[in-house]
Amino acid sequence: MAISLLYRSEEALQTVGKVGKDTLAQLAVEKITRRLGLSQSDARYFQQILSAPLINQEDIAYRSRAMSEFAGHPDLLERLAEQFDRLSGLKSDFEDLKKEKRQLQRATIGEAIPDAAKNHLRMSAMLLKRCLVLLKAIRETVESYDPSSEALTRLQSELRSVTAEGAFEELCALCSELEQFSETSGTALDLRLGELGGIVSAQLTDRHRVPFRTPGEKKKKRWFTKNEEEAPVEAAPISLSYSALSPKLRAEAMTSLARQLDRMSQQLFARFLPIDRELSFYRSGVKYLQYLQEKGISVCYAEIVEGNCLAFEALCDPLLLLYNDDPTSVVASSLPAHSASGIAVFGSNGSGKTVWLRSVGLCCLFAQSGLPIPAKSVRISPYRQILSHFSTAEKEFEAGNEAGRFEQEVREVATIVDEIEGHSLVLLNETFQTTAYAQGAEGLSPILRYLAGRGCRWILTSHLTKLQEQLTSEETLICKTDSKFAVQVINS
Amino acid sequence: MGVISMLSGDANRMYDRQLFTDLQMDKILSDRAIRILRIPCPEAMIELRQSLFVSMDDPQFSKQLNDFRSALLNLSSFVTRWSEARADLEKNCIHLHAISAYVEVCRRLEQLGKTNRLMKHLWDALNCAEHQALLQTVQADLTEAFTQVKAMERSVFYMADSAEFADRAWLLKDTTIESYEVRLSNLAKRLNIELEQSREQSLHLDEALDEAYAELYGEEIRYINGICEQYPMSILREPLIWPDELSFFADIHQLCQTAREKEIAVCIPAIASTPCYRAKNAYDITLTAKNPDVIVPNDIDFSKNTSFYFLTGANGGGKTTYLRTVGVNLLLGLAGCPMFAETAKIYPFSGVFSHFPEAEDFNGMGRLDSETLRIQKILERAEKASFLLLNEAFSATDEEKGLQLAVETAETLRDRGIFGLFVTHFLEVKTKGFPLLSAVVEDDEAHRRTYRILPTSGASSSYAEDILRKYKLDAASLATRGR
Repeated sequence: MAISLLYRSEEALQTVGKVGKDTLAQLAVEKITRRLGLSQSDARYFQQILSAPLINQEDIAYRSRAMSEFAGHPDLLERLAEQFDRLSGLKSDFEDLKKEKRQLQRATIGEAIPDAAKNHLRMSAMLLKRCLVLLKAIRETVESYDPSSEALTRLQSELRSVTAEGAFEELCALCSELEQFSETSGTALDLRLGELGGIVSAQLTDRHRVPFRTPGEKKKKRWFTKNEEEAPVEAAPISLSYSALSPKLRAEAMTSLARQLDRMSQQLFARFLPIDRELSFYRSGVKYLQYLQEKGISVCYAEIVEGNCLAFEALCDPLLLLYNDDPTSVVASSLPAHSASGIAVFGSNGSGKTVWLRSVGLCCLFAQSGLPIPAKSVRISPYRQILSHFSTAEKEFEAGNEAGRFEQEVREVATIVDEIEGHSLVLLNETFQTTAYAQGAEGLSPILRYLAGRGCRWILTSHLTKLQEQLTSEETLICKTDSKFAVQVINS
Repeated sequence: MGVISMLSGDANRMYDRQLFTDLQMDKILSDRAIRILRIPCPEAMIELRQSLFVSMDDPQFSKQLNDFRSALLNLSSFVTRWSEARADLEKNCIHLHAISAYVEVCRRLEQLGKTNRLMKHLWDALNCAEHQALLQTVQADLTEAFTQVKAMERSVFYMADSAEFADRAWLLKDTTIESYEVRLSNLAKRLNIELEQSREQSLHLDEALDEAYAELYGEEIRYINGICEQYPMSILREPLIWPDELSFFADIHQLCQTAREKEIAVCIPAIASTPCYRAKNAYDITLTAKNPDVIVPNDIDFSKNTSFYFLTGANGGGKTTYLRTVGVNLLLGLAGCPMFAETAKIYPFSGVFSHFPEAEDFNGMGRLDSETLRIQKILERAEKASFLLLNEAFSATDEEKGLQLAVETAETLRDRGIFGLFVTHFLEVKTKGFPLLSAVVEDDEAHRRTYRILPTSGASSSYAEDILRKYKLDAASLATRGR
């Protein structure tokens, strides 16, 4: 696996959690990215990472420590972003060169032409060298900050391995030599004769390493010597004007070498270039953090614990914080550690039920994405799935939708129930209020019990007061919002 | 030493191509198979070929035979490469591989010969004393020759920069210089970068390089030449007649496998010493091309006293199918192939002919004249103990004349000892004293066809009404249409 600053291992990448199809939109993540002024591609990538939350304690720690380190050294992040951006530029040049080679190959019907092959060889050597030099510079950048997070130390060690002293300099020197390659000073090829008597390999060789200089007398067999001490080398002449194969051999040899150089560049790009994109997630995260810090909001990274824990202290809704000029007016709420599998929040209109639900949803999502959370403390056991159902206003229903609103809701909830796995989080906002409330409550109650039975946690905001009677206090935390937007547990 | 064919025969006595078309064998067999079937198999070879089909049912033998075929194809690929190569060195190197492939072919043939008569026959013909002597020394010769090729593996193509040698390069003997690619690969390893190996090229030597190699590696090349001369390509090519022949056996064997899957009986016929043709529950294998639900088998019984039959009966009752059953199985049996029946016995008939209706060719001759002429020509060629299959001959004239010509033909066949089966609608043939076969129908109102063909004293109707009703062309249906 290529080095990743986001995923601790291949397994971490393969075992991410799942987020409901509309959940990010319902939790207003897009509004957050807009407020942060992220570019379209950065916003898309940020959402992409959020839509695959981590579920393993160590994987989350790997990411949040990197986030914390970048937050502490934003200049390191900027510097790396700029250098990886240059690497990305090199990759574009590399792709252009490959395209040019393909075009030439098509134009010459695969026939190698020495001059074109030589130019491509030089270009390939130059690109590899530039890539190597840039990686060395990135290594120096990382080393200058003496990283402590696992992600950055891994990057450092990966960079060290491809820029190891000795071999790195030799490789750069070799690239420089090939960058200047010219046939005017002669050519030597290492020829391999195959078992079937054809040439199976013609590889370019440094002519100066061939141990002879000048030919001897013109007799049938020639003996050459490099100097007095060296053994003579047996040789037979080839008339170049007579051999159609010679230019082809030379061109093939140069093409083959260029191909190897390209493979090396390709390897380096494949190993390091994904970081360019990953850095954009950290840049977005740091931007979000800086935004909060500028407003004097204190943040924390979630404490990831085993079991089925969801507790926080002084949690604020990030969206409100970002959009509100006076962040002190945003009401913080707390949820103590509890054993209930469900949380039902009741309260009058405009009392902050939905805001609270969103803040809890975002809290879980951010915690599992390694992002900081605007709270004093958060303790959470990561969820395999974060699913949601937010009741949609009638006007948003598409024209021509034959199903009634209630049926539509039932269909959506049914999808959740079908997909649900153990230890998931289900966020329900005013669900089943599109029918007679008594019936809505009666319908919802067994669904909530089913979710609890599957080992899931559900959080519901509702006006279905009858539901209170149907939910047992052992299984459910009943909360109420007050006129000051505070959420209080009333049956603890 | 010599290679003999598994499928040799007398090409001067080839069966007519039309025979195979009439019998619809082109629906189930490839052109190649039909080309081979057209050449009559010598009597002595029938049982040898049969032995191979028997052995092919043994999975172990079948695998060995496949390996033998693969070895032949391998040899064939080297022979083709050899003929395409231009440079002497390349030709000789390929030649060595061809020798090696030839040895493998011999080894596998010898192994097959231990369990199969046809393969033993081929091996015995090939493995004369001279051949044995060559095979004894070949392995050692090849090992040494390949060592010599290996010695030439690595050279350096050197092009100097001096103006004096601007048009000249040199080929140098093995050196230990690292190419740039090797250096690159070593550095990549040290930097933990995985680098694939460069892919092999395939460039043919030209004359200039070939000469340079010859000069530089004179001794090695002379040795290789010597080995190649000992095993000339003309010998190595000889077994290459076999892959195609083996394909024929594979095609027929595959047909047998398909038949067995459809629960159609397959047997190896016994070879009779006196003229006869008998089979129990024989099938028309060409019907498998149409994939019917069921194929009804019938018995075949031609002997000295019943060498000729007229076959009459209901339309759509299976007369032509029976004619094909007789003809197809006969041709397969005579070619040393399995027959599609429970048991069978055939005499090696000297020829097989067919006469099926043909479209009028408008050559100025009427259909009847044309048919009569065709029969005359067949009778000119047919020897005693030939087999003639006639389908609806002489139907292009009135019944009286047609019947007369049919009976005359039947008498000629009987008098000359030619075996035959004549499908006809002339029901009156029953009065002419020839053995009769009839397509049997159920004794119910619908006259359901049983597709059984049985000896009879003669059919009384062709049951054309049933067919007409089915297509709403019977009298009642036509009356309804009219209204």
